[in-house]
Amino acid sequence: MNTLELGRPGEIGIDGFFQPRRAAFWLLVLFLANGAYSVATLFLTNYAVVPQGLLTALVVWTIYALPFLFFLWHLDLFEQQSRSTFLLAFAWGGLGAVYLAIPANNAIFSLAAKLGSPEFRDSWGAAIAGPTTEEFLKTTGIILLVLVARTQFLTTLSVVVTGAMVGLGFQIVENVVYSTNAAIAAVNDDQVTPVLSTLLVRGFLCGLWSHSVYSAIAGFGVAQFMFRRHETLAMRVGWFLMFFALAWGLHATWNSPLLSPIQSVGALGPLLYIVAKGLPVLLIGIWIWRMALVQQSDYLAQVARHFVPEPSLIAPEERDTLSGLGTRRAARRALAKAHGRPAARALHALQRAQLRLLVACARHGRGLFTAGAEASVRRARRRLEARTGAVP
Amino acid sequence: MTVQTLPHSPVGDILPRRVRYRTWPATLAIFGAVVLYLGVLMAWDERAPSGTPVAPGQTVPVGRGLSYVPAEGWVIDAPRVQPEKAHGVRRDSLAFSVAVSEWNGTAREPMDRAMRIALTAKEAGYFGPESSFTTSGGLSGRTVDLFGMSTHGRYWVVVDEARKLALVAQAHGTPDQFHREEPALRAMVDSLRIQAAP
Repeated sequence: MNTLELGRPGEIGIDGFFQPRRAAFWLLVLFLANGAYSVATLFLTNYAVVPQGLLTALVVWTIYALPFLFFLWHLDLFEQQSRSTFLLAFAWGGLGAVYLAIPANNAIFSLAAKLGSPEFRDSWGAAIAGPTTEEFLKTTGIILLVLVARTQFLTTLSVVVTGAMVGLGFQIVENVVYSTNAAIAAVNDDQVTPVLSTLLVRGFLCGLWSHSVYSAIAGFGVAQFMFRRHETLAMRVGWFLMFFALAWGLHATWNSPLLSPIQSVGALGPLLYIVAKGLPVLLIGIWIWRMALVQQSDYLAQVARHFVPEPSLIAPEERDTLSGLGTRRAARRALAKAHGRPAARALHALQRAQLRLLVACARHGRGLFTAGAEASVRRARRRLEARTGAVP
Repeated sequence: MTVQTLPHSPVGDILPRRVRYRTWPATLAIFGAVVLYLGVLMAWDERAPSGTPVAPGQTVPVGRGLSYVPAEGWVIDAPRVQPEKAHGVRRDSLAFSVAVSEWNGTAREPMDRAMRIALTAKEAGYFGPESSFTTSGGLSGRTVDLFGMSTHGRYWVVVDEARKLALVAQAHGTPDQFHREEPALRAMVDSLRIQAAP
């Protein structure tokens, strides 16, 4: 067996997030601890006023978050990101960013009323405060996480998914706060119905094109700064600012009253209004995700070429299809037609094992760290050959 | 086991290396940016004038047919004004606001909710005894004093079951100013009027 090793022993690998020797770690801890205290105090306050409202909000928004977490987990191909990255990103969005955003947004709303008018604040306050404060703070979290352990972020996709997690954390905690505010402002003693109404509007009608997408776009900008090392610093900053501005602009447009007249277009006006505002955000989010996937595919193909030359691990015909989501799916479909669905499932298992091997190689180089992943590939290949009747 | 070393491989650039690197300049920049952002906004808000003075005797609409007459010398507290929902005025540290909303629940809940909010928001440490009040415009409800570490405040809550409305007026400020301005506060509460239902 050949083992490829790069650099000095022990130098290649991934840092954890516990980095007490790095200043960024302590700033992250400071903001997270303050955020946890602040959000817990806010929730306790709301519990004292509308206990049923808060408990209902916590339950429904936790349930709501689960499919999104699952989706983002799978967007990050094959557990490239550690659980701690997801946890910290979610915590930054839900604790650090929310805690810092509340006083800043309050000040902007207050200034909009004082310098403009209460009507101006009601119309445009959210369009000014929302993107300016929230995109800045959420992106700050992405940058802090990268600073603490930059080796955790090997590809554009890993930063984009981290950004989406930051946004999801922000979105969920913000929605819990909105729900309890709705319960406090309820028109009767019922605290549950306002929470469910908020879930319907903010969760199901507006949730797909919300903070997760904005932060994923800003995260893509952070990734461009990180990975375009061949370009000048000014260019890299320019890339970052461009995507940050895109996230800011989409958020501002969503919060602004510019498209409000659509609401009065017939009976379907309100629905049309949400789609008109949200669809561009979703489409741009998909475009960003596809660009990140393309970069991810190039990266995986490069890792495969250099670290896994053996055909027994990745056959020549598999190399072209392995790194792309669509090409992997097409290969499975073709196999399903020829040998049935069990064979396609076996190929799926093989592809996952191969990708895990590539991710392990990308993290540690080829060696003892990847021995388990190599064995998994060989096992998966034997199962596939048993299904297809191929001779090893 | 054969070990092959590829120190100049281009892929070497993409392999993560656990090396020491400085984060304090960027960390300091982030900390500075966050503190500057929040600090500038909060200081600006603190210094920005609150609102325009109210003309003597001017009746101010709050919403849902409710109106009141702010006391002379008070200024509109623009951040507390919510069109069709709430209005507020202030004089130095003393703030007075009125909020009106649709209400279909029990007559007791708006007062309980206001008291719970005051307690949990640390505006009040304890409450005085509750009593009833009636304005010259015919509105009647319950009122209660609230006391904080360095604040004194009062709630006036009216539930109009016929119109299905809840009205919550509140005042809070330093104890000295609260007592000095108590007549003005009473006058503002007394000026509360709800238009007769059509």
